[in-house]
Amino acid sequence: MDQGRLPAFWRLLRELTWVEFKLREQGTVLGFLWTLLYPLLMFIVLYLLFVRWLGKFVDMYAAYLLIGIVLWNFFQRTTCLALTSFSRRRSLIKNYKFPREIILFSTIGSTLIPFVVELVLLLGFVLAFRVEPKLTWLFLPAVIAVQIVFVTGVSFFLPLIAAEYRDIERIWEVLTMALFYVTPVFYPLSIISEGKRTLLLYNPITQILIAARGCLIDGTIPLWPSFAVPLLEGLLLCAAGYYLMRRYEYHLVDRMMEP
Amino acid sequence: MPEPGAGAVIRAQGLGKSFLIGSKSTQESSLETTHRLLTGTGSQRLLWALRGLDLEVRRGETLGIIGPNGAGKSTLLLLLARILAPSEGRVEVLGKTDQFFGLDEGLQSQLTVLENMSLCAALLGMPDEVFTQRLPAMLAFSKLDDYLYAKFGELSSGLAARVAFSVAIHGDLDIILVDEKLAVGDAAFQDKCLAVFRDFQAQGKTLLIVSHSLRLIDRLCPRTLYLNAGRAAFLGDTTEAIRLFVQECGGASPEPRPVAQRAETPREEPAAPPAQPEALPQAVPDPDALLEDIRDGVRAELKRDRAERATESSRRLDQAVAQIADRLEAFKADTSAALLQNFNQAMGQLADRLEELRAAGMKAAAESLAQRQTAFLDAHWEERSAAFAKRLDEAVSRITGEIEGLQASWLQGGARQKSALDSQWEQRSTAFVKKLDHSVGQIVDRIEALRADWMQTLTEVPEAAAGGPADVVSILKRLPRQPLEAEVFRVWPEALRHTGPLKVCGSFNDAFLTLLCGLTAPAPEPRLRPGQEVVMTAANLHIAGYLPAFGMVPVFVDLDPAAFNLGLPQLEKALSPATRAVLATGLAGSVPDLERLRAFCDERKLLLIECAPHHLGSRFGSRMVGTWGDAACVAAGGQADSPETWALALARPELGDIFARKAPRPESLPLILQHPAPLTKLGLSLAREASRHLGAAAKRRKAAVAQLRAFCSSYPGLLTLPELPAQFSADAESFTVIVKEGAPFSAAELATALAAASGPLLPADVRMGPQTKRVYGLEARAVSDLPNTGFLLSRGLNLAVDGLDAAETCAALARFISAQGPRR
Repeated sequence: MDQGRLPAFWRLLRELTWVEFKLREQGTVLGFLWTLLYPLLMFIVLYLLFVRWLGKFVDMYAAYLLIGIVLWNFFQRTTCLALTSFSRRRSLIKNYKFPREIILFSTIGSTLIPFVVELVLLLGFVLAFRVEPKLTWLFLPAVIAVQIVFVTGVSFFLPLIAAEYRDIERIWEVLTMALFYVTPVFYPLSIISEGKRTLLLYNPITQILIAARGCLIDGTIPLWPSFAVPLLEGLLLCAAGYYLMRRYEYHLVDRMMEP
Repeated sequence: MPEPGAGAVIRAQGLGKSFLIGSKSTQESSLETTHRLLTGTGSQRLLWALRGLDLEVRRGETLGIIGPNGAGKSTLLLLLARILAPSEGRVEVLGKTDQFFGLDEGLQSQLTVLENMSLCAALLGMPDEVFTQRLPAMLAFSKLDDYLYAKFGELSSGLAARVAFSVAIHGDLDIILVDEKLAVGDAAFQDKCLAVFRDFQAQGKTLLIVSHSLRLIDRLCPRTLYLNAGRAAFLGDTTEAIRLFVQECGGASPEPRPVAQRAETPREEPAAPPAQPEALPQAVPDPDALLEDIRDGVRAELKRDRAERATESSRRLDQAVAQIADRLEAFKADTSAALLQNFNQAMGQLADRLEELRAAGMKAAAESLAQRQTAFLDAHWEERSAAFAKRLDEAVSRITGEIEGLQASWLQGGARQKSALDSQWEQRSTAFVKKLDHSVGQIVDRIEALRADWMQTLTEVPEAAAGGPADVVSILKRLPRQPLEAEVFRVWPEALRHTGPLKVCGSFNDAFLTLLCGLTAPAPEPRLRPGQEVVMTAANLHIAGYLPAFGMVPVFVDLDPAAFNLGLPQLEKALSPATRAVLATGLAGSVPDLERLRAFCDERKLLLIECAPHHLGSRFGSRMVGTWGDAACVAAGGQADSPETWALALARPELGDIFARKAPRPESLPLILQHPAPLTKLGLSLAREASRHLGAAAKRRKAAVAQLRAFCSSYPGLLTLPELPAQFSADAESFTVIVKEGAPFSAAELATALAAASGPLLPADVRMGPQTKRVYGLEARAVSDLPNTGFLLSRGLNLAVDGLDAAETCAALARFISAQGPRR
């Protein structure tokens, strides 16, 4: 694609992001509120369930849990939507010529909007949970950026697989649920035995959570491995995903023409 | 990108596109997909939608593309738009392009038209500033200004089609790919579209138009590509392409064979790709498309056949019609002349003959008519007039005779009637006077007897009172014995709508005693016998005192905790086989639920005795208080020592003789004359006044009670009010308020304070507990402890309402309560 069309693509990305966001939230205030309410309800349930059991292992359990839920929720929601993004925008793909990944980016962009709002609210809640504001909070945007890169990398693959295997929609639901339990969203790593803990640390989301909690609660900046590893993995996935997208771009349209 | 030769903007070489097609394409499972991808085989087969196409389009050229359905026209456009990638061969497209159909499908029905236009522009690669700049032109073209903020889904399909189209034509496309699906919208809009295409042509843009409208192709495109079954059947002059298309597909043979033979010569299938098995026939058309082609062919054939036949038959018809017309013309010319001549001749003869006949006939008829008329008139005039005169005379004489007869008989009847009436009048008036005398005598006798009876009861009182305290006797002795007027007995039943026996007594206790005497009188058998139990509340001890004297056993039940009156649950508990009567008393400014009590007693065959010393004239439900019980005594006049205090004893009509019976008053009767009333005013005037008084007094009392209740309700922490039954028209002469247990003052203190504060405004009858539970040393049966009774008696404060200034009393209460508050 020539460089001259970049402004047009940027505009298309903005348009599609807005369309995606508006259609999903039905353009109503309440719809958007519900999106915000979901992590809050999840937080309340998990907090009430686990505060007595896990609260004694973790300092500031409420803040710990809320950070986990907000970041996890972004990962889960975005990947699930990205998975179906192409089939939802089938009519666009079939009738217009434009780089297909714009659809993917617009989906991520549309979930980014509530995510940013959630993050702002999260900071408010964390303050309310009596966590002292620290200078390391300034590092949080970098952690979030790493998460976005990682999520984007994962999202590149999902719609491509979904175009070929429709079953992936169901499978991914189960997979994310399983992933939720092997990610320390509501439990601390310290309650896991030594050997299994190493295994969990291979999960990039675990690392991202460690980084986010580190800079928000503990006031530390865990650069290695919690920051660098997911970043490298995300960049790698993005590159591979972009390559695959270019390669299977036309195949994708062929698959959509079939039914 | 290689340089296209000689201004060619589209160059395709051996262009082919295959799709996987099969009946299960949508239901393919993942397993099958894996299998197919791994082995390259599967239940699906490859369909070549387009194959071996060589095409070169120059800049500024307009190329038409025609062909039956499934020929690969749309696939070609999608390939040129770079939405699909070719499966084989190559295609080069120089310049910005997009297909011009299906644009609507990308639009969102929930978004507004403006948002959709913006989206569509973005999809067509239009930067922000260009869109802003061209929006007015788009709107001018589409005429959608009025719908800018309407939801896209709300537009009609014609209007909706304009949205994307108007954006697309401003999209700076170099190569425009048009599909005929575009041709929606009204004629005006279609004309506009055509004009736009002409404009594009003028601007030197390259147009590719796919259409089934051969006319449109003919008008717009100099060169046309005719596709059939994915192959280029012809590429060249439009007229020739259309001719071929019509001949092959519109003709009898929808078979694509000859097409394939002609077109494929230079592009014989190259080495078959490995994914494609050998067995695949070359240029296999899409079966659906083939079927559609066959249908198209048959349809066209039928159409042409029908057209030919129609022409032939219409030609023959015209011929026949012409022949018939010629022959008719000749015949008409021949015959009409002869016929006309004959006709005219005959008509002339006929007219002459008719004229002759008419003249002769008229003359004869006129003569004979005149003759007959004259003869007839002469013959009949005399005769008829004579007969009429005779009949007139007869009728007159008959009427006169009848009138005379009637007159005579009337006179006679009148005289007879008069004498009969006179005699009847005499008889009847005599009888009537006699009867009148008799009944007057009877009435006088009856009044005399009643008066004597009444006087006797009056005289009995002092005798009975002989055992009482000396001062009571002295009061009674001082009573003037005034004869009662008979009307008293009529006024009260009317006022109360009471039909049974009624007796006016000097005091409430006297009335109650009269009642008890009547109920216990032996002949023919007593309603109440000694030893039977009478259930009542303990709050009316002075009444209970009489019962043991007559041999009855009073049974005390506790009060209902809410109404502070006799309650059915408590009553139910007190019943025993010896129970014979229930005594309902007025209490706490109200009466018990008489309606339910009546039903309760009827069900158990118990006597209901009503004692309502302060409720004469009150109403409970549909009846007056006092008329619910089998027997009742009611009283009015609030103050105990008032000379107006007196009472009525009533009974149901079944107990008609109750006051005629003479029963000795027991020796042991404790004489408790609470209201020794002089009977000074107990006459007709009082009765009338009292009954008239009921209404006005009731209204006054009601207002006072309402005010007091409202006031007391504002101290829910200190004071409680007994609940009044809904049917009871709150016409109480007294108002009861109960001081709560937690209150910082007692009922006695409140009473004292009120008496001191309001002085003469407060009546003397401020009665309050505690009273003793002894029944004058007589036998009684208490069902259980009586906490509610005790509560009422110890904490209740009873204010007589008559003559009470409610506002004044409220103020006194408020003063008292505010004085108490801070102190404790």
